[in-house]
Amino acid sequence: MNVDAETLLVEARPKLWRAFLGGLGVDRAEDALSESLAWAWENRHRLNEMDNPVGYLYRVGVTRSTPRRKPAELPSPQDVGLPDFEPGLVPALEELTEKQRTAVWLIHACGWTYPDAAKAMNIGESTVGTHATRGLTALQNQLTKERT
Amino acid sequence: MTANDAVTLLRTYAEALEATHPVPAEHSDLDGLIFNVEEERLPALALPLLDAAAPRRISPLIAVTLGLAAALAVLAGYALLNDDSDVRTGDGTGASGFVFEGETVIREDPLVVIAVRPPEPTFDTSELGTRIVFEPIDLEGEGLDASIDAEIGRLETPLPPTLVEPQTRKISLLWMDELRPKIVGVVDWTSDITISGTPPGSPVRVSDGNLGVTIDPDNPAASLRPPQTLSEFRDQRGDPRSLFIGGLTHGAGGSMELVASLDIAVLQLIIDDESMWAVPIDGLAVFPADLLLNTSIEIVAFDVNGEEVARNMTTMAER
Repeated sequence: MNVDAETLLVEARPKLWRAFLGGLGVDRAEDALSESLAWAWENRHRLNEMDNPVGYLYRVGVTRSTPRRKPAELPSPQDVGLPDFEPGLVPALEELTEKQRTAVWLIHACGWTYPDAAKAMNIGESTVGTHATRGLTALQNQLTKERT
Repeated sequence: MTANDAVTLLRTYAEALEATHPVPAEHSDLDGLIFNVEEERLPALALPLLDAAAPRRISPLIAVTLGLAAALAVLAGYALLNDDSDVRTGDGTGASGFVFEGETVIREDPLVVIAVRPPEPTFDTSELGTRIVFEPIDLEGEGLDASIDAEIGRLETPLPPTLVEPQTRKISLLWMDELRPKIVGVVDWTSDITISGTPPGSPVRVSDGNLGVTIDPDNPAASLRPPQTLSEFRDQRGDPRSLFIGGLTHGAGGSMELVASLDIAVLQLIIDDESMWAVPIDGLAVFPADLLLNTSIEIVAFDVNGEEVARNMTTMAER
C-alpha cells in the first residue's frame, strides 16, 4: 500500500467511528478513536507497510482505550431516532458473544471487508467469517422468536 | 427473518447511531487533530520503558496474563469466591497440576487457583529497564466466573496444526483489569509438536495462544526442538536452559508471554532497544509489546542471585 497518511486517516476516521460506536459502545468510542488516530499519526510511516491499516487501527483503539466496567451498551432504537424500529435488535446483539457481536457489527453493520475485520479482531479471515455467520444466524433466530 | 432482513436492520441501526452520535468536533478537523496529537498526545503515548526508577503498572488496556510461583502470598484481604468449605490451600507439592504452598483453590475440576506472588529479587535490577508490575486479582470483580469458564474453554480446545487435545492441568488466577480477570492455564501437551517452516538461522516463527515454541538459548540461530510437556519444562533445572514463548498478541498494544522454569527469578525482555523486566509468577511473565514485523526481541533469564542463566535473540517473522 502506498497511500498518503493524511488521506488514509481522513478515509479511516468515519469507518473507525462507526465501528467503535457499535463495537465498544458510545461511552468508549471517543476514547478509542482518539487513541487510534493519535497512534496512526505518530506511526504514519508504518501505515504504508500494512495491508489492512483500518483494521489495525481498530485494534489499536480497542487495546489502548480504557475498558469500562460494564460491557458495551448500545442505545435503544428510540434513542437514535428510530421510534418504530425493531425493538429486539439491540437486546439480540447484546446476547451475542463478544467475538460474534464484533464480527457481525464490523462486517454487516459497518460493511468492512473480511481482511479488515480479521485484522481488527486479530484472528484469521475464516475465523472471522465463522463468527459473523454464527452471530448473524443467532440474531435471526432471536428476532424470529420474538416476532412469533 | 432472513439474513438479508437482519443485515438491513443492522445497517439501518448503525446509520442512525452514527447520525445521532457524530464524530467529536476535535476529531473532525484533521489539521486540528495533528496539532493536538503533536502537542498533547505524543508525551502521553510514549511508553516509559527506560525509566527503571518508576515501575510501570500494567495497563488494563493490555491483555496480559501471568502465572504464579512459590513464596509470598498476597491473599490477605482477598475475598474468596466460594464458601470456605470449598476452598483448600496448597500443601507445597510444587509441580504443575498440583497446588503450590500458599495457593488457594477455588475450583477443583479443572483445578483453578489464586496466584501467589514470589519474593522480590535481592540483586540489583536497576540496569534491566522498566519493571512490569501486575495488579492483584480483585475477586469482587464482575465476571470472574464467566472469565474462568471462558479460559477453560479456550485451553481445552484442540489446537491446529496438530489437533492435539490439550490436557489442562491447572489454571492460575492472575491479574485483573477493570473488566474481567486475566487467567492463564498451565496446559500439558504430550505430543511432539513442532513448528514447521523455520529452519535454523531464519527468524523464529511463533504462534499466538497456547501453542508456542521452545528456543534453545545455546543456539544463537534460535533453532527449534519439540517442546517438553509444560510440567517437565517448568520443573527443569540446569543446562541447557529453555525459555518458552507461551503466547503472543501481535500488533499495537500486543503482548508477549514467556514461560520459564520455576527457578528463574527475573525475566528481562528487550524489544528493539527498549528494556523491561518482571518477576515471573509460577514461571510465567507477560510483557506489553508492540510486536510488529521485524521487531527485534531479546530475552534474558536471571536466577535468584542475579546470574544470567539463559539468553535468546530473535526477530518477529510473519505468521
